[in-house]
Amino acid sequence: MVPIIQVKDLTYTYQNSKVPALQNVSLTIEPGQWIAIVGHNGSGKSTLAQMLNGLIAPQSGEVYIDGELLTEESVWAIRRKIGIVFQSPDNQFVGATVADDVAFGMENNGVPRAEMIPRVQAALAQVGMTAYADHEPARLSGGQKQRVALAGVLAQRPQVIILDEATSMLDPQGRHDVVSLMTSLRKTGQFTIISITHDIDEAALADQVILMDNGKVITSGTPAEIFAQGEMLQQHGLTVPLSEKVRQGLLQAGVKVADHYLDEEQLVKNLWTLHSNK
Amino acid sequence: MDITFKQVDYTYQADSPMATLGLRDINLHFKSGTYNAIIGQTGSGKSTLLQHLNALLIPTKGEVVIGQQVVTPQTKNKELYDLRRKVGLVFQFPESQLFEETVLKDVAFAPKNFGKSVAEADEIARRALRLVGIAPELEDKMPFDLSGGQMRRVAIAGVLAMEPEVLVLDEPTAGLDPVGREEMMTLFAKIQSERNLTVILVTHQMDDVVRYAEQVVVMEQGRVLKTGQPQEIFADIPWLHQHNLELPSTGRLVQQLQQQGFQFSQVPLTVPELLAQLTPQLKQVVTYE
Ligand SMILES: Nc1ncnc2c1ncn2[C@@H]1O[C@H](COP(=O)(O)OP(=O)(O)O)[C@@H](O)[C@H]1O
Ligand SMILES: Nc1ncnc2c1ncn2[C@@H]1O[C@H](COP(=O)(O)OP(=O)(O)O)[C@@H](O)[C@H]1O
Ligand SMILES: [Mg+2]
Ligand SMILES: [Mg+2]
Repeated sequence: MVPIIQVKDLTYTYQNSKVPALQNVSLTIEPGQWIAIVGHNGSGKSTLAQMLNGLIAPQSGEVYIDGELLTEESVWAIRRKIGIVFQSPDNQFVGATVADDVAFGMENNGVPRAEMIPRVQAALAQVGMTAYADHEPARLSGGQKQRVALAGVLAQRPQVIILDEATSMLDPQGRHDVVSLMTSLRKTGQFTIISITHDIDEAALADQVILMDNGKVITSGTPAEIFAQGEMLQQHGLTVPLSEKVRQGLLQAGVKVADHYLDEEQLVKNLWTLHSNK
Repeated sequence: MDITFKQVDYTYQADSPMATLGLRDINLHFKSGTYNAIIGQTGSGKSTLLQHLNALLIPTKGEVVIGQQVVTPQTKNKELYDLRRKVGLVFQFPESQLFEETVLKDVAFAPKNFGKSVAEADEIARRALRLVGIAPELEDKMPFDLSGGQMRRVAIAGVLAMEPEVLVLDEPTAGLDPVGREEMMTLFAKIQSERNLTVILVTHQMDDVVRYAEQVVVMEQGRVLKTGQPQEIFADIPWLHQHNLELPSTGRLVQQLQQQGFQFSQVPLTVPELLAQLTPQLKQVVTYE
């Protein structure tokens, strides 16, 4: 299988900066995977995301999308394959109505009008925002705005969807809505999802977690592999999930809880076997 | 400064067909020097309430008493100059309000505006920047060249440079990474105790509410639904669900443990509280004295 994303030895330093934002980053991502990229602010996650769709050109190294090398010539075709939803729900709207906004990206890519209308409708239906097609984007809640932004990306029929902290500015309800939408998009099997997130519960949904710091990939693995390394996460400015905090606390109190990471459900089951009345 | 709301109503676009309810019959007291949290769903009126604290909004009915200043529907703008210096408001996404060409100028803007000399204002600004953890080498950068988290700190330094007595924070940690959030919350706690500020925090982070707030105000549809200490507010899980309120992060795990058959005398709100109630219910490894 051709990897959907392959990054080789990427390095990038911003013009007015002395330290590189990315240093020798190499990655391979298989199609259909849900990848979470975690790392504290400034670790290089957004720079990497923007490099994947050619918003920023690498100073050295290579990006292959679906087997094709990203170059000045291929960047336009590749941008159609990769859609990004950004952090701030407010700065990504251009249309006067929700429907216009969803159509905007397609207009830019020269999709014929006749084809645009059904695509807009399908995308809005996919994110559950059909009833808002004629509304003004500015008047939506944060969570609704992010769903519309996601519809704009979906309408372009991308292979990869990148969500760059797309839930981090939402209230709990908005976050929940966007995350369940991501879960249902994954089920279609049509997309590779890259979610850049600080929400450890969101990262726990991924197939693979990539930890970045200082412009480098520190490690990657399944959520269980990554979350078991509490000390390392803390060293790189992240926290461990609640279930891991509790497991560590119980170990210290002398309880013979499992010796590896458990999610909440598994932890509850494990603790029940240790109940003192059994 | 003590702050009291007496039967406050606020209507957006009052006297127009577009009139929308912002606040209804608010009665509240924030004691001087205390740490208060306001929680509630989006649209429940939290930001509307906060904007009454420095009279950005003036009640449509009732009165707000802030220190010596009484704000009623009749209060004129020019009477509010002093109040606005004393109440520092950190808006949601404060970084969007940075406007000066360097970090230092941005933070020094308020003290300059309130009559300090350039040298004094710069000095106050530097102190505020150090307090929020912005290094000297960033002072001459353009605010927009900084990372989101750094811009947020600069914006907060801008408010601290006014040396306010009341610090009003509208979701100040939204969008920060966990360590950034923790640092920011620790910072607010430190400033609060050092300068004996009254803090009023709007947040969706219930763990922060539990950890820092002495009084919690729950808002729903423009009204105060409940006030109390965190222990009182978070004791009743079904009530929280009924009003679409989040639990502290321990809450979800506690519910699963309860469903499995574990017993809790009261809902543990922090990890140490959870461990204290859980450990006695589990078989221990035998330890010898
Ligand atoms: N436009 C820019 N100009 C200069 N430096 C930048 C710019 N954008 C980001 N940086 C710097 O690059 C590094 C990586 O930033 P970023 O990729 O945004 O990290 P993250 O998304 O993980 O927070 C940081 O040190 C940041 O300050
Ligand atoms: N400028 C405004 N004009 C009209 N209505 C507003 C305005 N700002 C807020 N509202 C309305 O007032 C209510 C309370 O909003 P707000 O105080 O922003 O809630 P919260 O901060 O809890 O999300 C909502 O119904 C909102 O739509
Ligand atoms: Mg980023
Ligand atoms: Mg608000």
